Amino acid sequence: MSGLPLLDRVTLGDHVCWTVDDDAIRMQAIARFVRAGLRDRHRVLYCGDDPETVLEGLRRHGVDTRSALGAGDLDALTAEDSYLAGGSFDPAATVEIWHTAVTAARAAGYRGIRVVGDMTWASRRVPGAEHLSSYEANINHLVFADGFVAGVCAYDRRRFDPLYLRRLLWAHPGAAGSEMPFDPDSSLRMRRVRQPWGLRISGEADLSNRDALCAVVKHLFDEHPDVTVDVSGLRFADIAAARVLVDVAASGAGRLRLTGCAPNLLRLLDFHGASAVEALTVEA
Amino acid sequence: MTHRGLLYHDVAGFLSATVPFVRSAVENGDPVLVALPGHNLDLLRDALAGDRGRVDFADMTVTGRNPGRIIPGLLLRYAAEHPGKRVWFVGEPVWPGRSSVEYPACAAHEALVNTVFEGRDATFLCPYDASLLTSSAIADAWRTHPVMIDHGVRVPSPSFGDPVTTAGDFNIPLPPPPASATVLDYRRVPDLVRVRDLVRRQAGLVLTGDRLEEMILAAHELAANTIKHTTGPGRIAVWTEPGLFACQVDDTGHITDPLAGRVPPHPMLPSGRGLLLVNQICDLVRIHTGPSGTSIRTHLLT
Repeated sequence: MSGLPLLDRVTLGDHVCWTVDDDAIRMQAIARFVRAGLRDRHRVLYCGDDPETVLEGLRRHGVDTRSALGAGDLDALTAEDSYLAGGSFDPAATVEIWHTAVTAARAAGYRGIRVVGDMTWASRRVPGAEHLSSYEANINHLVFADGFVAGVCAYDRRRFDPLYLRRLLWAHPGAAGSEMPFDPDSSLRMRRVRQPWGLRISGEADLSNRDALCAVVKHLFDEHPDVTVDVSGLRFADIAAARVLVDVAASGAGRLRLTGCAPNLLRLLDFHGASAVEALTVEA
Repeated sequence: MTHRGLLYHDVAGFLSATVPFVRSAVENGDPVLVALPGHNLDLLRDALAGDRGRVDFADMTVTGRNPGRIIPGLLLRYAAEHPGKRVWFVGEPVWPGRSSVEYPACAAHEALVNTVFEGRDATFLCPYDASLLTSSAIADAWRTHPVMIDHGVRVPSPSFGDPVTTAGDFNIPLPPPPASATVLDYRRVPDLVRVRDLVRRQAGLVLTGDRLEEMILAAHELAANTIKHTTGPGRIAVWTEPGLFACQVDDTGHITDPLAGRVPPHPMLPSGRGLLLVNQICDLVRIHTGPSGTSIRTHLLT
């Protein structure tokens, strides 16, 4: 297998902000990500600029695109046929595209979906693009928390303002770069759990994924008033992450039980006054 | 608020002022907290042993080891536990044996007590060991207390001045980190992982368990502040000294609030608690800040 292992550790449920500024590295990593998806019986989607060029690149990197396209295992769409299908960027309509894709892939027996989203369209003057960072944060719970979709959002560092890119980065639970592989250990993973109802959060929660955590936690009680969040896999949480957890319990929207809290998280929860929040139960 | 410095020259002088102070508090039915270094804590506790009424005690060398923690972690907390009451404190944050790196943080703390408790119903007695402390430390006590008690006589301090200005006089450069320090430059959010890894590796040589995790958290919050509040890069240096692990963060920011890290922000404000947490965790937090940049040094005892 050729190419850099930038995206090798991305699994279903991950949502990665990939800031890449080298076209050759980009193509190699995409090919590697696509090949792994086809191997794992995932449906693979590319959405963005120049799908024909990307398909050509995949062929050069040894992907049998003709049979994958023919079997429905692979699809490549322009931004205009995906993110901008209504003529502008409509976050709700885009989420609907993903939900439809999930339903179809499940019905067809796929184990999951891998999406490479080329976000270059957002660097152009597109109506609705101002909703992009909130969309990126919200799809964490709307699309990814079920653990059926893996998404890599490719942002070309040369085309985006660094400060804007930083805000987009915060909306993703994970990150990768041209030379920095996606590392699940230092990223956040948030997966829905149905018994007991809630989430499993693992990895590291810090400034780099704060908005992603906020967005998911904000919707904790949407479907159930009693929620358990298993944080035993959370290796690191910063002061802001702990605050997000205390605040949602204090909001009155439901009862939150945190299980598997590490000593540092216990300290931070206490620091934020967790013991005074009646709707919050904290367990080591 | 009253904030009095007590210059004591011997045990008798120490007890002759502190015992009546505590008894007055108890007689008034007010809460009183005695925070002293161990030997003085024992002396006063023994002297009060036969008394009725409740007195709270804390070892200042533990709870007040970091002077930046005394206001939020000890004084404000105690006051909050006794709403509507006058709170009385006997506090000795400056004891013989404080190092030259620690001392400016102690003096700044004494000055800022005046600011934080202005208009509050609180009364402080701060013993200073006049027989062992340096003359400049005694002079600083006169500068940070509006009233001093010396040889049993209560006098208004002629050198007491604006507390924030006085605290600013202790905003002085830190000695440079040693050449043996391990240094890492950081600038972007993803670099925070490298900062944590560095501290885990280096502090892991001398700290274990919860203390190690706390040091990582403190260093992370300092570096995250650089990234959140400044546009420039930051540098973290870590090293060990006998009995402690040291971590210094330098950046281009300027902390303009003299009470940063000492007073909790309004509960509704979502952020601004990083320094408060670092003060809570660390055994020393020294800050040198100005328009040209900020250095924050933290110690964790090993």
